[in-house]
Amino acid sequence: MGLKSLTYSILFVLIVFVLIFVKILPLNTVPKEWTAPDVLLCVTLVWCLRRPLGTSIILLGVLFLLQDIIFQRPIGLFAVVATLMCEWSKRQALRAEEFPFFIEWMTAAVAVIAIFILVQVIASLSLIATPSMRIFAKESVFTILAYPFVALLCRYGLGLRTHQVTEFEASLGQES
Amino acid sequence: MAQNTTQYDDYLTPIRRLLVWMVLLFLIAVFVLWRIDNPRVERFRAVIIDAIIPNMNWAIAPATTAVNLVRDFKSYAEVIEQNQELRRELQRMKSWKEAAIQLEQENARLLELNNLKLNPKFTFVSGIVIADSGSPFSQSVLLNVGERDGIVDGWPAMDGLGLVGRIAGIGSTSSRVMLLTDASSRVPIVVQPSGQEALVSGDNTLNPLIEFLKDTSLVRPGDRIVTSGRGGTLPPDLLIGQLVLDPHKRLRVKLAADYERLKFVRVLRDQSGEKILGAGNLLLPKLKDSSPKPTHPLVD
Repeated sequence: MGLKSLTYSILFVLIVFVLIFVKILPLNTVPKEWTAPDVLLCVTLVWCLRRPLGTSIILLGVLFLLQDIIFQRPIGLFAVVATLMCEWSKRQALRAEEFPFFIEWMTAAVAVIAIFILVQVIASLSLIATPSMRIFAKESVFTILAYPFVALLCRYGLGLRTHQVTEFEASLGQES
Repeated sequence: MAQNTTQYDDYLTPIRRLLVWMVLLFLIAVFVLWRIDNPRVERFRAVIIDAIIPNMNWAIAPATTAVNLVRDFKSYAEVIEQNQELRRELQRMKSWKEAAIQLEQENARLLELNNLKLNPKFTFVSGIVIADSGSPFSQSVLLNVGERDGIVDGWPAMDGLGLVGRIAGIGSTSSRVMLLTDASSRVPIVVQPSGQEALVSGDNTLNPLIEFLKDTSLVRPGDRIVTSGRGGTLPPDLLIGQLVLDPHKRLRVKLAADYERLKFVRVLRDQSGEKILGAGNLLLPKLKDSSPKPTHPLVD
C-alpha cells in the first residue's frame, strides 16, 4: 500500500512537470484570443479527489508555487488560493459517504470557480494589473469542461479510481 | 460507511490541521512579500528560472523543433503558390533596393557636406528563445543569453527587422524579454512622417494600442512607427511597425517583428540610457540629480 501510493505521488509530480514543460514551449508568442483549459489544475484536482491521502499539502503548495514562479504570475497568489481549494476538495472527498462521479465533477467545478473568483478579488484588492478577466473566466469554464476527460484519461490510462474503492481495498490488505 | 468517517477523523488530526495552516500562511507570506518588495522577489524568480530552464534546453529545443516540423509539413501544400508569391515580391524588392542604394549614396554625400554626426551603430548579442511565459499574465519570452554574456536590464531586443521588447529580468545564463504586447509594456514612439510623439502600450493583443497622440488627423494607416528615445529607456529610431486602425477606429500598431515565429532575437547594447543597479534604486527617488554615474543601492 505504501509503495503503491508513493508510486502514484511520484507519477503525479512527473505529470505536473511534463505539463509545465509543455506549457513553456515557445511555439507561439502571439497573445492568444482564446485560452486552453488549465490541464495542470485539472490533473491536480483529479488527484486530490481520487487520492486525497496521497497528495500532501506541502507537495501541492510547492508545486503551485513553482508554477507561479515559472509562469510569471504574481508569486504566491494563485498558489495560496489553489492550495486552499485543493485542500477543501480533498476534505469533501474524504467526508462523503458516497462519491459518484457527478458529485466529484461538481466539487472540482466549485473549486475552479472559487479559485477564479478569489484570484480576481485578491488581485484587484492588492492592485495587481491582471489581463482582462474574460480570459480567466473562459479558462475556468474550459477547465471545468475538461475535467471529465482528464479524469477519464487518469482512470483508464493510469488506473486512478475513486479513492474509496482503492483505499478500501488497501485497508483490507492491511488488516489481513 | 464508518470506514469513511474514521478516515476523515484520522485525516483531521491536530498536526495535519497545523500543517495546513502553516503551508497556507507561508504562501500568504510569500505573496505579501512579493507585493511589497517586488524587485527583489522578481530577481529571486529570475534566479530560480535561470537554474531550471536553461538546464532543460536539451528537451525544450527538440520538442519545439518537432512541433514546428509538423507545422511546416502542413504548409508544404502551399509551397508552389508561396514560391510564386515570393518571386513577385523579390522582383518588387529589387527595384526598391536600387532606390535605396541611390538614396543611401545621396544621404552619405549630404551628411558629409553637413559634417553631421549620427548615433553610433549598435552592436548586439544574439540569443535564442528557449521558453514562453506559459500564462496570460505576462507576454514574455526567455532567451538563452544572460548576465554572463553581458546582458543588462532594459536593453532593447529586436528580431531582424523590428523591436520585439526589452529585457526585464536577467539571470546568469538566461534573460527575459518583455514583449511589446505585454499589458505592462509602454514605449515612447514617434509617428513618421508627421513627427508626433505618443506611447505604444501593450494590451495582450497582437496589435498594441497607440495612446496620447495629440492630433489624430495628422496620421494615416500605414505610417511608420519608430521609438522616440524619450525618457532614456530605449534608443531612438528603432522600427516598431506600421499604424493601423482597428474595427473600433482605435489606433494600433502592426508590429514589424514576426511574433509568430520568434526564434532568434538580437539584444542591442544600449549604453546611453539610465542605468538601474540593484533593486533598491527602482523604489527610491534619485538623491542627487547632478551625479552622472549610476548610483548604488543604499542597502544591499
